[in-house]
Amino acid sequence: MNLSTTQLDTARPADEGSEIRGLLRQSLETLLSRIYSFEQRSAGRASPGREVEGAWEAYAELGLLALTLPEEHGGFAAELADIAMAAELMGGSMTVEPYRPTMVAARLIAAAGAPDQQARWLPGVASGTVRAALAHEEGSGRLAAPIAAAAVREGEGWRLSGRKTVAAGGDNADVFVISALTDGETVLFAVPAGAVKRRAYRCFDWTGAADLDLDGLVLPADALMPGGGDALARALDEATALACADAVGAIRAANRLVREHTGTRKQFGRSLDSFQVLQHRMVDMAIAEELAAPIAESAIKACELAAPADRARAVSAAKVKVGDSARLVGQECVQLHGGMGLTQEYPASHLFARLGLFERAHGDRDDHIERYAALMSR
Amino acid sequence: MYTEEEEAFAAEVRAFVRENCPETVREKVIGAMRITSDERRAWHRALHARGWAAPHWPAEYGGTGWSAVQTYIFAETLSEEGAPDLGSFGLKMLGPTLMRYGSDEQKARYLPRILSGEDYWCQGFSEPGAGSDLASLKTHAEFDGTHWVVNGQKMWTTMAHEANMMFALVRTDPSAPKPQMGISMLLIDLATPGIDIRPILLLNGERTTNEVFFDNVRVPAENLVGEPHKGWTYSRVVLGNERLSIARIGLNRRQLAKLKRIADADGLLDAPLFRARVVAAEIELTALEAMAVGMLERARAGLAPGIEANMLKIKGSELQQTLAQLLAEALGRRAAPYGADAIDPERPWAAALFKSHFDTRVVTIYGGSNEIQRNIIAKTLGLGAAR
Repeated sequence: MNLSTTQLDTARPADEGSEIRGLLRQSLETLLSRIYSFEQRSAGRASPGREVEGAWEAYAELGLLALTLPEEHGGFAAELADIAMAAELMGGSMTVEPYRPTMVAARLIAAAGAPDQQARWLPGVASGTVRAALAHEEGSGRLAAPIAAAAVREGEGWRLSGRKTVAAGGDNADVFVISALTDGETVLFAVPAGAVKRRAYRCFDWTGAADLDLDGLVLPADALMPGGGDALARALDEATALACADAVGAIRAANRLVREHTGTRKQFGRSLDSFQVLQHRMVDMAIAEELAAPIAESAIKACELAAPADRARAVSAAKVKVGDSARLVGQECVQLHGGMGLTQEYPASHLFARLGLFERAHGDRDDHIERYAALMSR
Repeated sequence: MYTEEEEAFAAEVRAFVRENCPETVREKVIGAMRITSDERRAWHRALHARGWAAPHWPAEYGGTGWSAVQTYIFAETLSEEGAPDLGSFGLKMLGPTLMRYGSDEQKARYLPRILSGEDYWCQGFSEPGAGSDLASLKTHAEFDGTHWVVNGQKMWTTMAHEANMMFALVRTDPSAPKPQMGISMLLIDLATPGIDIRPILLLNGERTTNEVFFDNVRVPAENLVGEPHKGWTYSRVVLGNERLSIARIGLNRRQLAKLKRIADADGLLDAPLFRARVVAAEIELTALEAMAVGMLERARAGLAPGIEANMLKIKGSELQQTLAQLLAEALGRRAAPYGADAIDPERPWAAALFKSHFDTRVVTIYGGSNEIQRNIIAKTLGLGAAR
């Protein structure tokens, strides 16, 4: 069973922007159809490394890990939309490797890091030998909650305290970008993972994450990144917009799976998709998909072009709408599969988990409605 | 919603649960964590010793002789307190069916063993090709003079791996004019040679359900329930036996209380948007309770429940999912971690909450999906009858 090639994509207009994107898309589709069938994913997630063997190296080989990073550090001139394209395809295949977390943290190092920090970490990211993760959220991850992690000066360097929760990709990260407060201001540190106490685990959707215990973490002066709160705000919006792209991919895959199932499964002597009550529900799922994809693209564009307030509004709008679609499609995907929808051996439940946890990440619906409300014009 | 007398009864039941069911077990149930079969059996023994294992059964078979209302209060109170479910297959489904259609020997042998928990039953109805359309089932049995010889496959056989007995629907007359007319009900000892029980692993990593394969499984003639080829009729009775206890009011009340506790700890109950949704859920629950009162009054008057029971199943199960969704929301990002590595010492229960959100998706599927419930209601309302 392969979830990675979409029927609808052929009907979409050619990608705007770089020609590269079309080529990259083709290469990634080919790669995923070769190494990331649902069965291959199942074997990978059940292996000790909890990943599909060779996938990360293959992403590096395609250049996906170099996208948008500075060329002098092995990067490749590209747009955020190129990363979003990859994220969407990966969402459709439900990849478990930390592509988005690594790219978000690497872009943050590129935007806010000192030259030495960039030189230390970015070439490894671009070539696939270094994984990065952003450790910012605390507690339940409410968008508006102030961060409690603190940094105080100690000698030449810094002493940190506090806890970070559910840092995506944190289980295998080599470097963390950690946010903390000092004198009421947000500062960022680039920290080798070996220096940090972490509890690594998998999430319900099989992706990896970690909780960090920062108490007693002492850092040298040069761990501090020159950029601070503004760069972080941008990175968080980018992370949210990329997660929306991933969710769009999963929504497409779920709709395809449901149509395939209801088209072949017969009850009462008819295929399930011939029952009008189910047809209407699948129509609503199709509408949800068509609503989600364009607004997710708008959010990516806003991240690249818009002023911070417009960017925040576009990203929050996308998170709300893609979230609504994700909830509807994820839940109906299980319901319309009946018992099959709950088993581990079949993709429906995995899509539900991916879409369900998308809703829980990067601030939930209420958080984004509140943020949008605060920015809404009258 | 209860009279004073009924309140007193609920209090008695509550006290019994708190005295006889260990708090650790009730916490597991409330925390949506799986209890062990030993814990379930211990609670079964406690209820049995008190004479409360099967309150809905007639007194002559070891039931309590309670009214439908008392039975309802009992079930809801147990659920509200987090008492483990004893399982429906023997106590609620097969037991009453045998009382009505079973032979004297079957009643004498099986009913006491169901009551004591000595036998644990599973239900062999669904098949890979027969879910909502149950009558299309293909597992078949031929009579060889002394035994029914069963071949085929059952699916979604919940708890088959813990059960020692199965009541199953099998096709015994393939030439019957309608598929419903060629089906019989057999009582099958799962230790019989030729039975292979294979787990179906759910996304939550748990094994609660199974596939069961039958290869020339020989079932003695006396294990046929009632008459041959009448199993479909009996199965309708089986499926209709749970009607008063499906409102899940107690369970939903318990979940709402948990939701408020968790949300309040994070200050979420003061967040207007979230608060509004909790309020809406509580109002929905209030409406369901009011509807259940109407059903109770009918029951007090000795009337059978009507389609409002199906309606309560739909709305009660939907509310269960709404509350599970709100619980996941209350947990926020904390809902994501899963498994033993992910247990946060400060919130050990958190790792189970998204799992429980996932688990709750099943409640609109099993026991007759909500789509099938709506079909039943549509039929009862006479929709399309004028054609």
